[in-house]
Amino acid sequence: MLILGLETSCDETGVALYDMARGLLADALFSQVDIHVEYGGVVPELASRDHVRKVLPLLEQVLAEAGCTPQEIDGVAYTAGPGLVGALMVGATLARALAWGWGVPVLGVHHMEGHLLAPMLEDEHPQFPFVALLVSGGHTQLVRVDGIGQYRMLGESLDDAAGEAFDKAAKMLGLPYPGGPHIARMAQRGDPARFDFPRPMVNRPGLDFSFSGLKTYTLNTVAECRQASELTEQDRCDIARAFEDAVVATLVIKCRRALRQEALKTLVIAGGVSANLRLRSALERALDKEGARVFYPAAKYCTDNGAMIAYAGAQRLQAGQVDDEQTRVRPRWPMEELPPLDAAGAA
Amino acid sequence: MTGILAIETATDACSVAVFVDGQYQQRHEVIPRQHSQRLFGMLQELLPSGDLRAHGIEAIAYGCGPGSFTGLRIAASAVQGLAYASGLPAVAVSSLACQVQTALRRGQVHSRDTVLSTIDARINEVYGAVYCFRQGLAVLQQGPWASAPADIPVMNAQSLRAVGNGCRFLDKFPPAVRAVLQSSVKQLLPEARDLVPLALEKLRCGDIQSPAQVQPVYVRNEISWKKLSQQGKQS
Repeated sequence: MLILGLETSCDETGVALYDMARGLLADALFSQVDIHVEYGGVVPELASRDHVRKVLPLLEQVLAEAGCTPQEIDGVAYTAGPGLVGALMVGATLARALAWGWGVPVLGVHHMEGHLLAPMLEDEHPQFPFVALLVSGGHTQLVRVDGIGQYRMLGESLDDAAGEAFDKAAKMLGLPYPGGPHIARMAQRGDPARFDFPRPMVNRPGLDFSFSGLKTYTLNTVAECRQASELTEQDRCDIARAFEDAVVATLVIKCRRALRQEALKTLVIAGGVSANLRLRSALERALDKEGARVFYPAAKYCTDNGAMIAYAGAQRLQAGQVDDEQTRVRPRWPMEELPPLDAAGAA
Repeated sequence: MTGILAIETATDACSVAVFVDGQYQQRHEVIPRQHSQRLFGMLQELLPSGDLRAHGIEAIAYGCGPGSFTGLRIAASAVQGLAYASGLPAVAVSSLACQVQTALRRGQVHSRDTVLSTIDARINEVYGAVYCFRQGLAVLQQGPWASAPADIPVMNAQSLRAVGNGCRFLDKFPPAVRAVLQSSVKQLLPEARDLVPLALEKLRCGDIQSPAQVQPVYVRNEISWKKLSQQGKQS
């Protein structure tokens, strides 16, 4: 069963072909970062406009790479939400049109389920059940996963997502969008002992996160440095280091707590922030002590991509789930509303 | 006669038509912000399957704009997919021209008239263009443009009939335009079936598009977001 996956929920256009027997055959991605960098963040209208330009050429690219013809495609999966409504509509409408034209089933996929299942694309992948930390510019969630579509939210950010906090802190340090990789690079040269940023909500029970206080703390630290003298390159590196350490420590503490609470030994991290190397190594160290293991996707599948949508869609389409007549995109869509894999019918 | 599937979603109307063997079938619903939900249901009401060639379709016409940005992308994405899947050519037709053709078919304008076609562009602006007719087909004379109603740049018109929902700003149109206005039709939205005669003419001239060439024509290309440099910040 060969499934085409389309991802257009934000600022990356992703297209991929996944085969249930042969695995991932091809994937192509266009990142719009260069378009949005001038604005300091994603401009929804520009994102939508670019998806309409890029998605069909990327489709042709993956077909050529995979050596497949459109006639071999057995189904189409697209990101139906959460995300930017105008951007989602581009992928959804194209997917519906292709599927109707080819006479194959079509299914809207949950973007975060795509992220959550992205580690399944690796040769060595986790077994259910596990705890997943979904951490990106739009989400910070801890989820118990007992199978595809069997999700229980354990905790989430009460305000900013971790990735969003990275972007905002980067802005305060005069770094370009998207901030995560820039902060990580600067932090490498930072002195870990100079500033001690708070670890938000770690002293409270529960698995929720909050990053807005950390953002304010960063802003105040920048202001204090400025007051003393000009904000030097070393100041910026030290602040980046303290900020990154605080976010990483918070995520690690909550992940360990979640595994203990659920009596599980497997953690999956996914989403853009899961590409952060300091987070990966800190989690590995901490979980090793617990006899637990952490799985994450290859770096290219941490950010938005078509492969994870093709994979998630393939699992559900093979189980007989298909869209009904109406195309629905859902900018907000709690993952717990997803049906389990064996529940056939509209997703 | 060439069979055409036509899709027009630039305005509050979601409109789909099939023209096969000289016969029209159309679904036309005024459903603001619900186009994407209804579009494929409407298509399925007109055609039993998406195998367009089997149903006598030989080209896919679409209203390329201007109009609602989201609406334009819904038509363009749908036509990209249908044209790609079927291997059929696409034909882009201005939504303003389509609207003029709708007004002609309804008898709201006549084939000797010069017509100012308008679509409400929101944020107190209008999209507009001026058309006359040649052999019953709308032919562009001026435009298209996006402007404040008072800045509509119509030049040298002796007599005009205005159509479209941009006419709700009629009292703000420039005096020179109002002075030559013979009539106005506010309650009008482009219908997909009126893309067909214009698309047939374009097909005859070989003015066709491959699937990847199918794109919205926004006319308004500025967006309200400010770049960091305009905000006084470094990018």
